[in-house]
Amino acid sequence: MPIFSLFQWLDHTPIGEALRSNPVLFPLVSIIHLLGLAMLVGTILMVDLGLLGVGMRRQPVWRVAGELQPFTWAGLAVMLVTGPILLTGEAITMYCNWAFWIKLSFVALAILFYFTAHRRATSNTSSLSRKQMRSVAIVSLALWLCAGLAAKSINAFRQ
Amino acid sequence: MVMGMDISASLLGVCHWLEKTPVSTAIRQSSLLFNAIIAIHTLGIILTVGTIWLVDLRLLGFGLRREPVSDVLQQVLPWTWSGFVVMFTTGILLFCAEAATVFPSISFRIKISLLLLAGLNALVFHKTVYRGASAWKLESPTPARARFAALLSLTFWIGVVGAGRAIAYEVYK
Repeated sequence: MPIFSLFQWLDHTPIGEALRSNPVLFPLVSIIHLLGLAMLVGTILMVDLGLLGVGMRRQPVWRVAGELQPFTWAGLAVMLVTGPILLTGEAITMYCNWAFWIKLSFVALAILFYFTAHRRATSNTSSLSRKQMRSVAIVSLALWLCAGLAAKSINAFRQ
Repeated sequence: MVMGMDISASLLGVCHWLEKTPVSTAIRQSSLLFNAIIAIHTLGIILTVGTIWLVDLRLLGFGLRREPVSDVLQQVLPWTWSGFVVMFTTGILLFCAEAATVFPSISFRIKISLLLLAGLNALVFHKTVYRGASAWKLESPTPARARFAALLSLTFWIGVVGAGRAIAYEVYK
């Protein structure tokens, strides 16, 4: 099982050991992870509300999306760095937690959707209809919501 | 000092009473309910803090530079308040569920203090500098006081989120 050995290896990295031996480190990284989330999902949310027609209505959605994109990416970068660091702190525990795998799947889907359909819907050359834009927003919101709910469930399904 | 301890002790008494109310007991005894409320609380935070940061970043000149400040603020504000109502309601519920455990926590006290400071900062901003916002030129930076308020707001809210997260680590581990 190559994935299991990968997780075993993660658990034994110096970072993982440092996270477990220092009681402040794990909470600190998890707080940075959460701040990244607020930035990532906060900005995507504003764009999605725009696509739904209930957000910033005085500006075209593509312009708001373009102006917020650096922050969305910064938030994503923070999460993609802190997430794996947190994982090394308890890799095997996460391997055995099915909520973790559900979260990972939804995160992957949400990121994929963001860089494909969402990106198309918010480009200034987008020719999507109102209805299509609305669907994109709903799918985007649903994917991030599911990722968040699964992440929250990780603690509830600890063994 | 003695009076301070008296107040603290009687507040703790209130907390013990809060914990015993039927709603608190129900939340505390159901991990599903507790986690569901935390999830909704987090969603409220994302909405509130996300939109506040947007305004802060605009004031600092980092984001949404092509849109007037008042335009961004007015359109975002209903969402900030909606998020706040959700965050506040669920926050009260979560607090009541474990009031006596959470109340003495340092993280909790830091969080509430920062929350009050963030509120005060926003109030002062709205009542003073922001009054002249309609005259701000799009091509020039916002007034120094507005940028200072934005920096304070960013800092306070990062602190609120951080301290809030820390409550869990301080109390439950």
